[in-house]
Amino acid sequence: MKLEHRTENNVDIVALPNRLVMANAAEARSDLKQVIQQGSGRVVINLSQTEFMDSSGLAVVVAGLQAARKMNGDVHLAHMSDTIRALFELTRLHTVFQIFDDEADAVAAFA
Amino acid sequence: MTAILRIDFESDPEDLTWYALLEKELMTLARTAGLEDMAAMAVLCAVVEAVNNIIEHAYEGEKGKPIKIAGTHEETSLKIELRDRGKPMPLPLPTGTPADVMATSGRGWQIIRAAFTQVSYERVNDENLLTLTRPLADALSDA
Repeated sequence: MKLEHRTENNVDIVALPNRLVMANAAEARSDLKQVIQQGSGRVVINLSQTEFMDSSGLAVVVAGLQAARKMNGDVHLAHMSDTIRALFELTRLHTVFQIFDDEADAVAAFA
Repeated sequence: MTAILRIDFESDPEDLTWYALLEKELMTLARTAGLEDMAAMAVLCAVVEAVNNIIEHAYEGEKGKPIKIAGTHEETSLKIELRDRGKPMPLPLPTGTPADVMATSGRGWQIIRAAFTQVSYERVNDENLLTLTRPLADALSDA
């Protein structure tokens, strides 16, 4: 799996897959880490395609945040579904991420 | 009325196909039980975590080992049974205490306990049996 990736205004924008689960989490984590380490550390994760995520998927996003913060950057999340938002709220991850309805707003928040 | 779900498959840490099968069957059972979408998805997440635990811990990532999921709902509860023939589960069962927010593991049981108020485990004839039960009266009012 290669995560969809593009750069806009020096912000790396990464789209996660339809399902981010134990079966594909290790590869996604490796891909995301590579994108972050080769970029500015400012990352938007677009969740518009992501309908289901388990705790392994949550770990991918947290690992991305750790990598970004090591570079004095951050990870913004965009287009999160209600069900994934509920998972973030249950696990309190909504307290450590900035979550945006729209990808453009998530990118602009780095300006 | 009792609705029944049965799914048998084999462990494979890199297999994505069982998620789709479980989603289709379990969401149907949960909705038949009267759960709204958010609650049904919470149930699905919890069962996925339980299966992940079987693959990762009971079978230690080994492929081709049997996993059986059975689900029923009656008037008062939704019950899911997961069976495997892997290593016994360490006891006591995890309480589901929230992991540190920056941790990259340790959230599975929190997700399981959030969706199912009753969780029991027994080892019978070299088989692990994990039973997850959600009273439907509670299920209708929260996610």
